Amino acid sequence: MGPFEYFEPETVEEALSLLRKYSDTAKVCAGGTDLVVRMRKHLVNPQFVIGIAGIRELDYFRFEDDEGLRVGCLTNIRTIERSPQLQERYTMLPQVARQFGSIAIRNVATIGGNLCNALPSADMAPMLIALSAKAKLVSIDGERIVPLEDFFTGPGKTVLRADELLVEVRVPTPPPHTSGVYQKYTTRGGEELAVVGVATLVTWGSKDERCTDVRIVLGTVVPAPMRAKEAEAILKGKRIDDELIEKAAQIAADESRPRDSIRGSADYRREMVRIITRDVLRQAFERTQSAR
Amino acid sequence: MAGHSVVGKSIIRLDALDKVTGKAKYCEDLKLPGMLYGKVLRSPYPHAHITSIDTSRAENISGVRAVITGRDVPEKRYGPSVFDQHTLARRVVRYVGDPVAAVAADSVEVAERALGLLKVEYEKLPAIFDIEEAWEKNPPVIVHRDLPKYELGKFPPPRLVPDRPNVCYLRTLRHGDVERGFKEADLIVENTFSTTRLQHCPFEPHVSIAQAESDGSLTIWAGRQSIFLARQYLCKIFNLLPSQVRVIASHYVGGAFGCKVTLYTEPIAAMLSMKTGRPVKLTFTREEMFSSGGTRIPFVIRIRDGVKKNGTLVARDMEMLLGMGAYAGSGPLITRNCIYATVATYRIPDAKIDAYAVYTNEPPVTSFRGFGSTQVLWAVESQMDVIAEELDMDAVELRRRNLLEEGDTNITGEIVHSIGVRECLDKVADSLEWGRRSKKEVGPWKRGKGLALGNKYSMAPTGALAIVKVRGDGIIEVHESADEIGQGCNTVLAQIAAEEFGVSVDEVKMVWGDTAFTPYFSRGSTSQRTTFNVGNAIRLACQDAKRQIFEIAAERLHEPPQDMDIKDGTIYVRSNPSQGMSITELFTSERTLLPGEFGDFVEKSAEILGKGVWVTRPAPSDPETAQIPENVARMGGRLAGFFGYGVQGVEVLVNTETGEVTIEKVVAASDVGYPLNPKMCEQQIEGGVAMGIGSALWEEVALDQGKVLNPNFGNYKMVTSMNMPKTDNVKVFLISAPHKEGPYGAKGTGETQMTPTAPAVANAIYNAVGVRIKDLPITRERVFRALREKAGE
Repeated sequence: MGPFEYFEPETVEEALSLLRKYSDTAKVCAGGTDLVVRMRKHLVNPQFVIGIAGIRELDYFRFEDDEGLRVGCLTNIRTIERSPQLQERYTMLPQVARQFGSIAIRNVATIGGNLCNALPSADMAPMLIALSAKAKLVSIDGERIVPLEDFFTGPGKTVLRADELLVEVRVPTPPPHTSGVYQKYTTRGGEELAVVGVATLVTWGSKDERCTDVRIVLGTVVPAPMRAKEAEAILKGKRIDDELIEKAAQIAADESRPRDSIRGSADYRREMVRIITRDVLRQAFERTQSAR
Repeated sequence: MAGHSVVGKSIIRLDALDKVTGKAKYCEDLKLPGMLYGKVLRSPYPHAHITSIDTSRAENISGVRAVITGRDVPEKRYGPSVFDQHTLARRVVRYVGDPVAAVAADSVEVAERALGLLKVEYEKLPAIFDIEEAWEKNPPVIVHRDLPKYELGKFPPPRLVPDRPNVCYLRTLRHGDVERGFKEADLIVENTFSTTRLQHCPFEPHVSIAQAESDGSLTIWAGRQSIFLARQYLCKIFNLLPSQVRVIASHYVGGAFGCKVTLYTEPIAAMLSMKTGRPVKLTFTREEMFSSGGTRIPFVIRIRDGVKKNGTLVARDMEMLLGMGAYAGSGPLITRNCIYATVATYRIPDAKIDAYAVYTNEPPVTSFRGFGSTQVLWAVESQMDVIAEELDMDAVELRRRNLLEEGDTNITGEIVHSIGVRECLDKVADSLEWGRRSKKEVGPWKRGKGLALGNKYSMAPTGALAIVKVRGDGIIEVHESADEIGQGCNTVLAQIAAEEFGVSVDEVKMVWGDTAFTPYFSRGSTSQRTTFNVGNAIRLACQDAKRQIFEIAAERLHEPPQDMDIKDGTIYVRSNPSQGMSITELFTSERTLLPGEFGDFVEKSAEILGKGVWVTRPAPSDPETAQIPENVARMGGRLAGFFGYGVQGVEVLVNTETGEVTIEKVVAASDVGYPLNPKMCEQQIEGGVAMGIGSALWEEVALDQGKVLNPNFGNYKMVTSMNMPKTDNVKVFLISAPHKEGPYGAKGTGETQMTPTAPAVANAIYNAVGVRIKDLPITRERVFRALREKAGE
């Protein structure tokens, strides 16, 4: 690890003024589970590191009647995993969190860090995109709200400016009869980065058997988390049977853009996109139906 | 075993409390006054000339105390068998990670920064990575052009192959006439198998501290295996006498699994200390462990077997290529010994084996739990199932038909002794409900069972010494030089001393790991030899100490020494047990110098010091046929110290859509001779099974053009607890085929336990879905592709 100067701001304002001052030469450190590894490998060599873990006001989640869930960027993954309220109202989020890293990592890694590092394999992103979540980005000049779907621009790249901080994630309340499932596929099973990650969110109409809305979001097998919109399109408004699910899964696989890597060849990963998409769609449909 | 009070009991490990509370000290914990930290600059190229090194900028950083390069290291090459290596590359680098320069600085960070300022210019050379290509007679690249001129060590006796310039050692076995055997066969089965590189992944990476003393001698604190081997190598490198090199490992070692036999950090730390006069610590990073810390040898194994219709093996022909990487290290010895895996279990009338040690420009390999046996058994035990399938015969039945028995002659001419493999096989087959089709299958998941036999010899020659010092307070102090690498040897060795003296292990104190003070143990805790060899030496030392005690007591009690025995610290007369005295009384009473002073000496002999030496010698064998002469074999001449046996069966689920494999159940039986501490034997088996599962399904040091692609635990997939079957589904059985020379019949057991796992998993996968994977690891993608291929047939 190269030499760097370390700051520990106590307020958001303090953090923002440091970010304005050091801009590109600084990195924000929340849990550090990505950043420290990258620094040790000299993949990033910031001159300044701004450790925000001390800004306790950013560690929260709460429910707003009109706007759903708000999660502070410093909320760690273990908190999301173990919250009874989230388990009740946003079951799909603890379901994602359980598949994230190891318990030790989940205790430290934060939702903000996972999103801002923007690894294609970031586990929190696909489901949050499926839920139409938005990110609140603030700088000294003010704030803006960006849909997470538009937040990621490539591997490790986001729309976040060097002087901005992602402070909150806003997740709208899912409509009734909705259920979501995320599944990651790995090469070993247990405490690894995803080789394929697929989140799906399915909503049924209240009267008939039709699927009124569906989201399929791919992670890892794309440069940045991405909705498989063509696959979504053939399901939306339809009566769902297994044949249609198989078809949608194949389309999602065709929409994915996996690369050859030591975790698997592109062909294999594309085929796994099909299998996993099929499985998460089946599970989500089964869940919504049994809930009705 | 009847009559034993301490051995045979699962007493709690002596180090348990210190380890679970974090108090145990490892080399990495040690810090000496004035200590500097070393770092190594490594080659980014697999093969290149070093044209220039500019150290000036690095030397000028504040806090940098020394920079050394190939110019500073001794001209003479060293190595365990082929002297092919310099401490730092002098003119040529031969793998990505070859050490080129080293820095000693006040902190690791400063040392790292200095590495970044070293300017090395290289002229790239063509490199070779494929083992089979490198083995050819006219390979496109010769890794060591001067190999014919290199000095060669004596063990194993050198054997180059002049027309194969990348081969640094050849091992051959000839038993009977293999072509005649094939003529008698009803069926000939031929296959090629391969294994990949594994890293040992010990908790504690390679680490040592070197102190160049003012009298020219050298002191090394090391987290390693085999302090005496390290001393021998360091003497060779630095032209010192054994008494001038002191290697200390009287602390715990954070796991080894074979990789800590080789010198990695010690000579570089020593050179930095010589240059600075200060102690220098050199610790590998995890990344360095993968690139330069040694890996298991990748094998290519061509195996051709002839069998009768009834399943009788009549001929076996094996050709094996072992990829050494850039330097031979312990590779030639592994090449020599790996063939014993084929020797140990089956009767084969006609056999031929050729094993070649082949250089490439990949990172150097080293010993790894199993020492080549595991790789050979991957082929042999997969092949046995292929044969069974082709003969339409039960795989257990096929194996039973060919098993060696006590008193048989194996393919080296050795007469078999202490072979519990049949009982292991029966136990596993029974517990796994062999032959009964497995229970429910859901969706794409198919169930299957498979098993394999394993074995591992313990290498001879081995010499072990022990000294037992009986203290005036009654404590039995055992001095020995085994390496406490996590296997718990101190506990078992203390049990042996306690048994001999009739006391509990609380009365025994272990003193170990210092070449200046603890007695010789030839190659340390390697080759699962500690219990057998050091254990025997301790028994003899205890007996020697007791003889001295009884002689002194005889004078005082006016009874003959041969009539005496000892129990719970009391020496007594067998014919009259009420007559006796305590050990303390030998030292105290009227013999103290001042009244009330504690007795610290025995006036007659100063101290009670028992000495024991145990030597296991191999029988001489023909260098070209590996055959032991018949008369030598009849006299009990042996290939190795002993053979340990293990049979493992697994039940797997295989996902036919994804290729995913889960291990549902493991049954493992092992012949340990006699379990001195049953719980610790079971733990060795469980650890071996876990490591074996990892090696079977995921583990691989992946290389591209000689560069490691996955030098971290994110991408190098070690087995985790989540991949193991539930505790109730891991069944372990200890089998005792006592060895006539083993302490209480015991044999070593650490290495045996990984040898059958991978082929058992492969056989179970075949049983489940009908695909035969011949290359390790059996990744999900490999299974997936094999299933696709099968479906396309």
